[in-house]
Amino acid sequence: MSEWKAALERHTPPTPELIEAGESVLGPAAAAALVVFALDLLSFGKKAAVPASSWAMLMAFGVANYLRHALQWLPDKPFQAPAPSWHWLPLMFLLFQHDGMFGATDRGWFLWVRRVIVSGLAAWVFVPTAMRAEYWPLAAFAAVVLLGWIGPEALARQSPGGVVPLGLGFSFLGASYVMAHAHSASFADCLAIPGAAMVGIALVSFVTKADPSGAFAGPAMLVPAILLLGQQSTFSEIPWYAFFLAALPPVLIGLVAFRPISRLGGTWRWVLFWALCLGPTVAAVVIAVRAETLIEQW
Amino acid sequence: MRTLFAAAAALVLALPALAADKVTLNGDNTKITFVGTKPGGKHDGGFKTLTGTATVEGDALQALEVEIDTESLYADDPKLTAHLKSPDFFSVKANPKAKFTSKKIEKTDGGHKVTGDLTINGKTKEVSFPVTVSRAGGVKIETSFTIDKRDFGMTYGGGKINDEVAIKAVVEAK
Repeated sequence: MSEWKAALERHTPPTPELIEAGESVLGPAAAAALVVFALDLLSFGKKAAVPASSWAMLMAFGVANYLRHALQWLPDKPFQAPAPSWHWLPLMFLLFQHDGMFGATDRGWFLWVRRVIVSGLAAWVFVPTAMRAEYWPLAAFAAVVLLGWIGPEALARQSPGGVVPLGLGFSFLGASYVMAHAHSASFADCLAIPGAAMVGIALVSFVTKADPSGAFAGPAMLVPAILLLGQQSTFSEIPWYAFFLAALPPVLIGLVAFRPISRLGGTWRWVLFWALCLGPTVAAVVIAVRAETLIEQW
Repeated sequence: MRTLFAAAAALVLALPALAADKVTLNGDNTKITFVGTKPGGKHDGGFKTLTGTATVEGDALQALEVEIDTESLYADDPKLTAHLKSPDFFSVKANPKAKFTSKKIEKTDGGHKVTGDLTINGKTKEVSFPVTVSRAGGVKIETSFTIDKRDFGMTYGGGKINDEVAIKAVVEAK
């Protein structure tokens, strides 16, 4: 029993830090997303659910980042190397959420061309120079962003409600826990913000059965970008595949929206959804916990 | 003849510079350490690898340049070392060098006041600090001062970790 207690202590942040994270990251992000999404739906109705959910995610990110200072808002010296690429994350998040906001109204080839372009832009900004000797890392990163965006979006449109954002929220919080074990609190906060915001959006969606897919665009870019940059710029014993597994759920759950899985009966379909959503997350967390501890450093 | 005069004048003008000692700084003769504090505690750390030069004439410091390899950072706890190297603090993968270049050195009662550009974490800020120089058995240069870590983009831990960080540097060259 004492072994379990000691292990729990090694992998749980100290209580004051948990309270502080609750007050300045998790609580504000979830509350801002919930309030903004609910008010928008009350004001404009369910037809405005997609832009409303996008706006809710954007506000949640803004409020939590303002309180926590996880990321600086703008790069210091834009276009002057070697500014760390994560300084571009807030601007890129804004760009993606803008695209998410208009996803409901735009249709056709213009929508897809734009999405491919912004996913490619994210790859160009966030894939480290050392990995660009070949084209495939850029293409792979852009594909992860694009699939992690359109897959959950398609699933949420087929099945409006809170399940998809709730699953994504849990997977982002799991990714945040992996990053905390890699000794980067600010990157862990960056992943916790969309995680908590998704939970807030999910609560509203459960009640209203509204389509929350506008919220998915920014996190589809932010989560793989933070995990890639975290793997590259932190110093830990966590193997690369833990970061990779933590980034997989948004990509994998899209499979549930397409045939033949989409034809499965309700229960089996959602069992598969939760397995694809939480399976890689749990695996990533187990690998991180076995490799590192969360001993208080300061 | 004109050329000869010009060469002689140049030699005369260059004599003070020739008289100055240029001390090469490295991790063996230069120790740069820091102390970070929090309510009720502190941690020590430093950098093992650096290069630079200190130009000294008599006991007067004339110029100071230091370039630190930030990946050589160490602290009194291995987990803390990893955390300090992360993007929360020094971002050593993105910013592998920290630099100081003096711009102005003034003589004071107790030694010198050095003013220059300090670049840490990719951010440059002008800082001033007191320096003492002694020439007993070689060259010894000492300084201690504080910086605000927020000036260098290190905003993590506000309220939990104090923003002021004490820096100490000692050069002992033969």
